[in-house]
Amino acid sequence: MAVGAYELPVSQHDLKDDVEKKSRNKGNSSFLNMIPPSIQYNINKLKRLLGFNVGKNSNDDGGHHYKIFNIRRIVLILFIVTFSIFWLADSGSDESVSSLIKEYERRRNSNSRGLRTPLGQSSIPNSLANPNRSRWSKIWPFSLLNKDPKIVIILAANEGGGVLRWKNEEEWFIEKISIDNKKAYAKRHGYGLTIKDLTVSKRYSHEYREGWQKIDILKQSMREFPNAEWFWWLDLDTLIMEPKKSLEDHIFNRIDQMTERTLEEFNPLNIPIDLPYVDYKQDMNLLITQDCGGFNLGSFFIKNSEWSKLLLDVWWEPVMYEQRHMVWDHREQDALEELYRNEAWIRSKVGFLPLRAINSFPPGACSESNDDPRYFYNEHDRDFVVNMAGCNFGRDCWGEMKHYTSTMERLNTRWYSKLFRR
Amino acid sequence: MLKPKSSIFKLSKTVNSTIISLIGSIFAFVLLFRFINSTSNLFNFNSLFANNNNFFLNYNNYIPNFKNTPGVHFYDLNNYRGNSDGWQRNDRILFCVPLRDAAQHLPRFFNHLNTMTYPHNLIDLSFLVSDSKDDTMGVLLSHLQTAQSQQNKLKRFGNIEIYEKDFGQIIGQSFSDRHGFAAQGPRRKLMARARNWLGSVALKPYHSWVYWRDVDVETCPVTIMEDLMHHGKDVIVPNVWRPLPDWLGNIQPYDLNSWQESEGGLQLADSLDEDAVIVEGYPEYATWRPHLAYMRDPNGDPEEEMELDGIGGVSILSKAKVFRSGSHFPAFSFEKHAETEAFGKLSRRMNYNVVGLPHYVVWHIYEPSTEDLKHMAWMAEEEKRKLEESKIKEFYDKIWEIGFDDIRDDWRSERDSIFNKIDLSFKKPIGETDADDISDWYDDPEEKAAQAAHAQAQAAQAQAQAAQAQAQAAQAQAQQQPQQPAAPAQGAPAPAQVPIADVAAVAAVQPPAKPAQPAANPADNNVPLAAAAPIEDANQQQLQAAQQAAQQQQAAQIQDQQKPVDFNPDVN
Repeated sequence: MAVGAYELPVSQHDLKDDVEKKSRNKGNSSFLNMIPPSIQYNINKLKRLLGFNVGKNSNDDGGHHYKIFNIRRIVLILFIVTFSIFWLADSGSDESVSSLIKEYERRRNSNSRGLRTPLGQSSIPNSLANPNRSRWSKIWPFSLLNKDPKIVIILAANEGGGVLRWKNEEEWFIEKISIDNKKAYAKRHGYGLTIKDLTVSKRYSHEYREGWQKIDILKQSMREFPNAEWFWWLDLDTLIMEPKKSLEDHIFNRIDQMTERTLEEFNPLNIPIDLPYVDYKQDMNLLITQDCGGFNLGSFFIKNSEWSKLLLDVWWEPVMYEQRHMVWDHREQDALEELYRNEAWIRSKVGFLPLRAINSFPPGACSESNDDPRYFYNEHDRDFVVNMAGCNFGRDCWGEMKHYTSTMERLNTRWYSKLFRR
Repeated sequence: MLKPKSSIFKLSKTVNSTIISLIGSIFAFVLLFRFINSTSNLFNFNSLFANNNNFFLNYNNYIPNFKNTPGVHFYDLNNYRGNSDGWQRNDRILFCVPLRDAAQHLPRFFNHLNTMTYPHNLIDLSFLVSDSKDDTMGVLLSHLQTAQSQQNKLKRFGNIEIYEKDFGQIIGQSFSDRHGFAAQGPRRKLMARARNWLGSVALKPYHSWVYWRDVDVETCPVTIMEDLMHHGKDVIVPNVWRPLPDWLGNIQPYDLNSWQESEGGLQLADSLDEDAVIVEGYPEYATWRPHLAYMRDPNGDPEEEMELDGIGGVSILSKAKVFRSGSHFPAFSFEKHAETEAFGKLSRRMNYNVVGLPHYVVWHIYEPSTEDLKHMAWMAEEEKRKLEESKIKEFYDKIWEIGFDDIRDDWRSERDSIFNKIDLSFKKPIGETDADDISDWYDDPEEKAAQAAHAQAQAAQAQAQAAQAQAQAAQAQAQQQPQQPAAPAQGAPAPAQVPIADVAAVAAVQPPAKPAQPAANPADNNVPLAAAAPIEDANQQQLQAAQQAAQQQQAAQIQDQQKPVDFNPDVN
C-alpha cells in the first residue's frame, strides 16, 4: 500500500464499491446519474485519492474500510500544505528581473525595427494619457489600501521626459526596474509611493532654477499626503537592495544611534562646526547623507512639519538662485549647504546618516577616494540602498543597474523561489 | 440511507423545472433582442447605446424613401460617426494623399496599399497632384490601373479620385529645401492650403474616417488602420521614425511635429508676432515640449497612448466628424502654428481628443540632406583614395624589401654587447628611472628578464661611477654650456651636429640635453641610421666617445635637474 501510494487504485475499483455500483445500476433518482459513468469513476477515484471516506455510507459488510489516517492522505495533505506555505512565502515579484534583463538584452542585440511585444508588465499604465497632465503623480492602487501611509516614498522618474532628446530603450528599462523595485518595497511594508515627473521644462532650466524641481515636488507631495510623517526622496538611479528591511527597523527605531548631529566626525566641505544659537536637542526633521563632495540629495528623509515647509520656502527663494547660480555647481545641494552653513534654525533640525545607510555608492562614484569604505556598497554588510549617482557621466548606467539588480536578486531569493517562476 | 439525498434531488427537480423555464424565456428574449438589434444594424441603427437619445426612439426613426426620386440623396449623418471596430461595421475610410514630385515613391506606396488588411472596398483613395515636374500623374495612373484590375476583387479599392492643382510653390522639394528654418512658415501654410483643398473636395457624407498619409513611408504595419482605429480616438497618430545609413547611426526620431504643449512653449508663442509659425526641431525656437518621437520605448506597449497638442502629418487617422464640424489644417497662424500642428491644436480646442502612440512606429524613408549628400560623395571619394593608396603602398613595400637589407635580427643579437659598453650611470643620480625601465628595450620576456638582471648589475656599477660623474660635472658644465641653449631650439638638426657615434648615443638614450625635443621627431628619423651605424663601423674609440658624450650630457642634466628625464626606449 505504502509503495503504491501514487499508483492508480485499480484493485479498489475492482472491489465492489457500493456507491459506484448503485450509481450505475440504480435508477434515475440520483443527481449523479446525469454524469456519465466514466467521469463518475474519476470523481470517486479522486475522492479516494484525497482520502475522503467515500465508502463510509455504504454497507458495512463490504469489509472494506478507509482508514482515517491513510498514509496517502497524510502525504498528500503534507504536500499541499508545504506547497501553499512556500507559495505564500514567495509572494514577492512574480517575474524575475534577471529573466527580463536577459530578454531585454536579446532584443537589444537583435536590433530589429519591427513592433515588439511589451517587455514585462507595463509598470506605468496610462501614465502618459492622464488628461490633467500630472502624468506620473499617480498614487498606486495599493496605496489605496493604506490611505494615510506614515512614510511616503517619492520617486523622481521620467528624467528628461523626451523634450531635448530621445528617452532611449536603456533609460526606459532602467526606469522600469527602478519603479518596480520601489513599488514592491512600498507594497511590502505598507508605505506610500508617489512617482514624480522630472520632465525638462523651462521653469527649471538654467535661467530659472536648474534642477530645483525637487523642492516643488516635495511641497506638492506634502499637500498630497498631509498625514504622512516622513517623506523619503529617491532618485531614479537608486535600487533598494534589502527589500526586507523596513524603514522603521533600519532607521526610525534607532534614529539616535544612526545619526550624527554635528559635522565633527565627517566634514568633507570643512563647514565651520560651531555656529551660535544651534539647539541640537530639537527633533531631527531632515536626514541627509554626505559623500566625498558634500551633501548628497539622491536619497534623504524629510519630515512633514512646519519647519520643513519653511525650509523648502527658503530653499526655493529665487533671490538666492539669482545671486549664486553661477557658483553653485551642484544646484540645490549647494544651496542647502549654504543654508546649513549659516542658519542656526536649520542646523538645529538636521541629522546626518552615514552614506551607506541609505545611499551607498557604486565604485566609480567618488572616484578620487576609491578606497574609502565609507562610501561604497558592500554586499557582505548588506547595505540598504545603492545610488548610482552620476552614472550618466562617463559611467555605464545600464551595466551598473544590471549588476546591482542581479546582486539584489541573488541576495534576496530563496532556493524554492525558482519553483514558482517561469 | 440514500433517502435524504433523493429528497434533495426531488426538490431540486421541481426547482430545476422553474429555473429551466426561466432561463429559457430569458434566452428567448435575448435572442429576439439581438435579432432586432442586428436588423437595426442593417438599417444602420448601429449606435444603439452610443448615442444619448432614448433608444426606443431609434426604432421609430423615420427614413424617407427617395429611391424613386432622381437626383435626391439622403444621408443620416449619425451613421457615419466612426466606430472603433469600423472594419466590422463597414466604416468607409477616405484615404488622402497629397503628391508632389512623388513618382519615385509611388511603387513603394502602392505596395503598402495592397498589403493593407483593412477591407479594400471600404477605402476610398483621394490624390492631390500639385506642382510636379516629374511624371507623378503617369506613374500614379499606371499603378492605379494595376491595383483596380486585380483578379481578386476584394483587393480592389473603393472610389478613387485624383485632383490636380498647382499652388506655385517657390520652395524646392529637396530635403534641405524643405527642412531649412526660414522655409518652414510659408511652406507649412502652403501645404495646409493643399491639404484643405484635397480634404474639402474629397470628403463625402458616407465617410466615417479620414486617413492622411504621406507617400514617402518606408515600412508600416499592414494592420495600421485597425491598429489606429480601435483606440476609438477622434484624432490619432503613430510615432514616426526613420532609418539612417550606418555612418549616421542606425535610426533616428523623425517626426518632431507630434508633441505636448509646455509652459515654455506657450511663453514662446506669446512672445511672437501674430503671423509667426513655431516649428519644431530648430534651435531658433526652444519650445520645451515633450515629443512623441522622443518617448519611444522599443519594448513598450504599442497600445499606450499619449495626449498630444500638435501632430505631424505622416500618418493621421481622424474621425470624419472632426473635419465636418470645422476643424481643418489652418493655413494661417493658429496659436502660432500652421498645418498639421495647428490641426492638432484646433481639434483639441474643439474638444476632440488628440492622441499619439509612442511605442507604435511607422518608418519614414531616409532622404539624404544636401550635407549628407556631400558627405556621401566625400565617403565615396575617400574609399577610392584609400584603395589607390593601398595599391601604392603594396608596390612600395615590394620595392623596399628588394632595396634594403633587413638587419633587425642582427641588431637584436648585437645590441647587448654594444649597450654593454655604454655608461648608463647618468641615469642614477636623477632618480627618476631605474633598472626596470631600461629593461623595456626588449620585446620578449626572456630577453627582458635577462636584461633586468643585467641592468641591475649596471645600476651597481652606476653607483660607483656616480662619484666620478659628480667630479666631472663641473668640468662638463664648462664645456657644454655654450651648446646647451641651442639644442632645444633647433630640435631636429641638433643630432646632426655631433659625431656619428654620438648620434647613436643620442638616439639610444634620448639625451637629456634635449628635454624640449618635439615629439620624438629626430629620434624617429635617426633611429635606423643610428642603429645601423654602430654595427658597421663601431670601434672602441667611437664607443668611448659616445660614453663621454653621454657623461657630458648627464652632467649638464645635473645642472638642470628640475627638468624630468624622458627616457625613450623605442630603439627598435
